[in-house]
Amino acid sequence: MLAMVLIAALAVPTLAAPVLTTPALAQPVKQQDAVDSRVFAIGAKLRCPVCQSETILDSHSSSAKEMLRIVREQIEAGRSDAEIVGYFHDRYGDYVLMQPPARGANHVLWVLPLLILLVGGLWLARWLGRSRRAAAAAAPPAPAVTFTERDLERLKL
Amino acid sequence: MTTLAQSQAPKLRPWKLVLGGFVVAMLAVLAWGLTRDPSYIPSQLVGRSVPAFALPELNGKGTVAADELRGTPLVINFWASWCVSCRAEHGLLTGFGREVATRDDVRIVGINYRDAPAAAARFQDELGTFSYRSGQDPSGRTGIDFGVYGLPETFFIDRDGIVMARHVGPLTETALKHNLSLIGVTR
Amino acid sequence: MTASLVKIGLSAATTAFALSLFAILAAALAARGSRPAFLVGARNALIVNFALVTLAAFTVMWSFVVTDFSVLYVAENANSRLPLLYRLTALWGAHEGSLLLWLWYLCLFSAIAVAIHWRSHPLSMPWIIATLAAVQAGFIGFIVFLSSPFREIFPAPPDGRDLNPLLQDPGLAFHPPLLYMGYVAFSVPFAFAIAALIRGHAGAEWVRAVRRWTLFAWAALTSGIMLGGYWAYYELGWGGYWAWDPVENASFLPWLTGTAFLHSIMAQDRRNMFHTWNVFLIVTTFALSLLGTFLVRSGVLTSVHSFAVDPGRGTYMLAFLAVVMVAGYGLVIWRAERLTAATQLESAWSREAMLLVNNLFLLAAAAVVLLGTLYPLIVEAVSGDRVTVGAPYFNKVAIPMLVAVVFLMGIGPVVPWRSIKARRLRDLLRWPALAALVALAVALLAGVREVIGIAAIGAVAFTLSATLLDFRRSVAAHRAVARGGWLSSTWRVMRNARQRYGGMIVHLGILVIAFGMLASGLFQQTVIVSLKPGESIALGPYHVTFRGVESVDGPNYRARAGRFDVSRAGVPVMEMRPEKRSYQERQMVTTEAAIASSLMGDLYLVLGDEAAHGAATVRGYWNPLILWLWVGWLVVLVGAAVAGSARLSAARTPAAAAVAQEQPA
Repeated sequence: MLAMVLIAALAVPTLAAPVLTTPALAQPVKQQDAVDSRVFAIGAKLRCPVCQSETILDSHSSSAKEMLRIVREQIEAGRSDAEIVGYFHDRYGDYVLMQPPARGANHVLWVLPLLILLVGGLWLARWLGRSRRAAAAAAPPAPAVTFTERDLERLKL
Repeated sequence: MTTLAQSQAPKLRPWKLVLGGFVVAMLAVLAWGLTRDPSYIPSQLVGRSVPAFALPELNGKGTVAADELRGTPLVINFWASWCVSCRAEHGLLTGFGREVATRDDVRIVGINYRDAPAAAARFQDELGTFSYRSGQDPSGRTGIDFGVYGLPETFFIDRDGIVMARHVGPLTETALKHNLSLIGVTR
Repeated sequence: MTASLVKIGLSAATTAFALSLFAILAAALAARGSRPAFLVGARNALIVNFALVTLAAFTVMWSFVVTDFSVLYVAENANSRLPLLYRLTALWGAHEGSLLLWLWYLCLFSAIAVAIHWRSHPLSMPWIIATLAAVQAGFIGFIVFLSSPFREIFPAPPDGRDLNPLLQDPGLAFHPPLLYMGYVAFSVPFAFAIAALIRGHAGAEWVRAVRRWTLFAWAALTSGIMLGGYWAYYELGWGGYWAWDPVENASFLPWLTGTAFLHSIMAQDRRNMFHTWNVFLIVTTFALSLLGTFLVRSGVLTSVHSFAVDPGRGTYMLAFLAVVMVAGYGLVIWRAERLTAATQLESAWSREAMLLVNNLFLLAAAAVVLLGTLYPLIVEAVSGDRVTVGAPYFNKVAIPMLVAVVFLMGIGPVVPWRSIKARRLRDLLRWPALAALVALAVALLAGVREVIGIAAIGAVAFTLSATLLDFRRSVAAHRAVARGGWLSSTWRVMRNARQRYGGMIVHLGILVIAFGMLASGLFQQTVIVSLKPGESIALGPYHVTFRGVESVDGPNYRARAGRFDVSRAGVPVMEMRPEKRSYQERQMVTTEAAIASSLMGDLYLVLGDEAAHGAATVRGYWNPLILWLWVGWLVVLVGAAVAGSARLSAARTPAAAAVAQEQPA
């Protein structure tokens, strides 16, 4: 009981603490504007074609930065997220998407995990049921090596 | 003790087949993976119209534009002074360019990708001037339209403006001949 | 004189290769013909190999210390301006040297294993030696014939290339050594597993030895992975620590199966069950360690971690991996029936069953990570298309499975062996369930909206209360009997059952890590803006004001450093200086993030491109509780040490005792 109270007492402030932010001060702060936020959200979905598995947002390469500039221009021109991602998909194919599009064989990526859990779970359940039967005790098999007592003595350092 | 010999003899079980099959499949996939370049991206343009572009000419006053070049089979080569592999194909390209100048059934242009005119000039001073025009694409936007991801890349376009082939890496004599045949040009 | 030093190294390595072949032969002959003298010879060969490989590695390291550029490997990875620390650690900075490190660990652990287990495992020893010697032969052969760090170049260049700037960081001193320690240490349990399969026997002594080695390997691998994340966080400058990059995944895979094995071996220890399953898990874990080594060097997948691509070397490594897999799994398939366990399961509500469920989720997570990592390869083989499977996929699919494992972590330890009544289990878990509900409510109030985030918070609260209550229950029970204070009872309880309480501490450490991951994942603040000098941004509890950029010079780089004044509630706290460094020799630019860590969170600043009028792009992150990841890792290490120090009793059950007595190990 005491432990529960202690845990609850610890949990609430620690969870709430990260959410605390600076109180508003007289000094003005620059915020990330809505356009920027959209740029970064889209940038995190696109893979940099010239880098080693990085998004255009994380990559430091100048090609990635150029692509981000294109994303920004298209946002300001009023295109939707899907249209902008589609612009790059049109030119580079599925490779530039951080996640394979959900079509055709790619469904296996999502189906297989569920299948593994299902099949594994069923197999486990069956095994749990089966193993309740008495199993034959495994008798010691013939040793593959026959050392004599003297040999064992000599092996001691 | 029960009879041990039978209960301990290996038996064929389903899980053994699954395990064996999985091991073989994984090794096969990895072995196949060794045979190709992991950064290769197939071109999305093959079979589609060449993207429009109108670029200022390098070391010139004109424009290099897609519309003007329509009607004849066209070769477009993306290059840059910072591209080490571009040096390997430079001789072949300039030779081909001189040949093209004497024919009227094929054209070739270059696109100087993400580069500065001064650096491009130094490149040509060192290796020899191109025998054909190049357009400037300093921002790389045209390259992005073409799906360029690693220089050098060469595109082969037929007379109707359809991209028939793209070659990544330094162009070789064989690759050039083969790709030209795809756009109806014999070398 | 130093020019001939690597020649000595090469000779030593070549001799070691010959000796490893000799050891395989001698051990096999000793087993077949029962000749103890051959076995002693094989053992001595492995011990001598350790000395030889140490000498070989030393010659290369010394060449780095004295910057001997006639050695090709030194010329490619160091130059005269490189600080000494990085010259020493450059030994494992590229492919050839890192393989040498792998090999050195292998020879070290082989020598230790044969020395300490010589007397207790006389009948398994021939196969243990043969297996370890075979793995050694594979690696030494690879190094000597295909990836030699001993090559010389004439004439020696006046100066070398620089070490990859990304590797010029203290992280390089620790991440590969710890990671490889983990990978390689699994080779000893692997050797034991092969011995068990060939002999058809794995008794109590076998379990004892394997368990200790696995705990050590697991702790090292955990440390290697955590250090890798730590290093990525500090070095790569994107505010995160794990990108589901193919090579990162490759290190995570053996960790997942190794954790599964650490748990299911308990059932073999206590209840003499799961023999075949356990050797399967060991073979899988070692094969996955090798797979990781293969993926990073073969050029099959692109990764920020890749060494230089070389399909020729890739072919050799794949062949070696194939041999290990075919031999290991082949033996499992052929000998599974001989290893069948003696004991039966009594109830589905038992710790044995819980361990299997734990294994199910861990292995499912491993299967998912493997699938996602290899999927681009499969797609390309089948249809020629290129796809990318990145962080979004893994986060969506693997994380829920791991949350399930965290949840199970709260149930498993309170379920006793053999069986428990469902009602009793319900009683035990009532308060943890309540804690979970409270946590879910707090999460919703705090604004968390992702389902998996909420579930994870619930799981962490559930398991934390279950673990603490379980601990309290045990100490209280001990107090009731032995009559002591809380502190002395705690001490005594832990000392007597170190395995159990070590495990509990490890679980608590995992919870601390999970908590840190949740907080920094769900409540991270990101601001990416262009700032002029004098402008500020707000991150977490801090105000950050940009003051300008200036030039700084380092030993082998030039940098542009941004100055930021950080204040909190109006009070100035510190100055932070993120940098962009240009390394002239390698023509590379790296970003050095400025990080201010506290238990509440990290303030993380990265300097981006500069623009006109002194303006610069700034990336700022507030990462709450991210320090808890590293703190939790230390807790895990403490727990692993406690568990590893346990004096395991000779017999746990009458059945196990009987088996142990009948069969020498």
